[in-house]
Amino acid sequence: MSSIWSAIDTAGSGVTVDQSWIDSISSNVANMNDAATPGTPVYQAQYLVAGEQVPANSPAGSALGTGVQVESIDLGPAQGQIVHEPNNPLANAQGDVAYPVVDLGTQMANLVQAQTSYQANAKVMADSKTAYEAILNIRA
Amino acid sequence: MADATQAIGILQFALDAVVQQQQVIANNIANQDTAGFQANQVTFESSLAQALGSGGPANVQVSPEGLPSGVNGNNVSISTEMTLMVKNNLENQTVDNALSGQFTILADALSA
Repeated sequence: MSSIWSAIDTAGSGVTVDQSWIDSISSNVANMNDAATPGTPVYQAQYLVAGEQVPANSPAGSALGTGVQVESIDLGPAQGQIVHEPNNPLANAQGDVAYPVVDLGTQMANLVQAQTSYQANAKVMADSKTAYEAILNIRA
Repeated sequence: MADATQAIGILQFALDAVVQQQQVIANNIANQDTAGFQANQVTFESSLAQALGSGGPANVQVSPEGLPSGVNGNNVSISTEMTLMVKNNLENQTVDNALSGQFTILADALSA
């Protein structure tokens, strides 16, 4: 992924991860009210785990890093939270339904963080472009 | 003539350093939310000053910034990185202008 315009690639890896992060947040918020009968699969909130991209031929910390990547996606609890809703058509014999465990406050806070991170990376892209253009303009 | 080519060599070294600096800043900002990531910095000024003063090779060093880490073990300060990037861009433009100046002198000499 490294090239002569590597700072732009690095910032690009940043916005890619941020975009995936925002996608996971919107999925979590969109599915937070997906009721399910207890015992059946319930939506599990997705949490991105970011990791540094390190060039393959060098030990960590010794070389210029080449950006960030999605390392894994952690999932919220599989059993969901049980709520007593006897009138819900999905309720079991006890009148309980399962809802996904999604905390809206956490999701919104993460969204703001992802957004500022995206903006910072976009700024790096723009500034790196200016820097590379200045180099291309060296002439006698 | 030797002076002009030496100046170009020094400026070339400085340009390499600011390009690496840009890459390191981009990597720090890309990893601002990576748990356990430690920000790096590029230093070359003192090495270059030493090389110019007493001879010998100058080198570009990438080392940890060493700022305190937050709860997730990450120590990227976005305000520090943004400031460094602006500074680095100005350094880059300065070096580029100086290089253009040196090349203009060389071109003038060649066409005289």
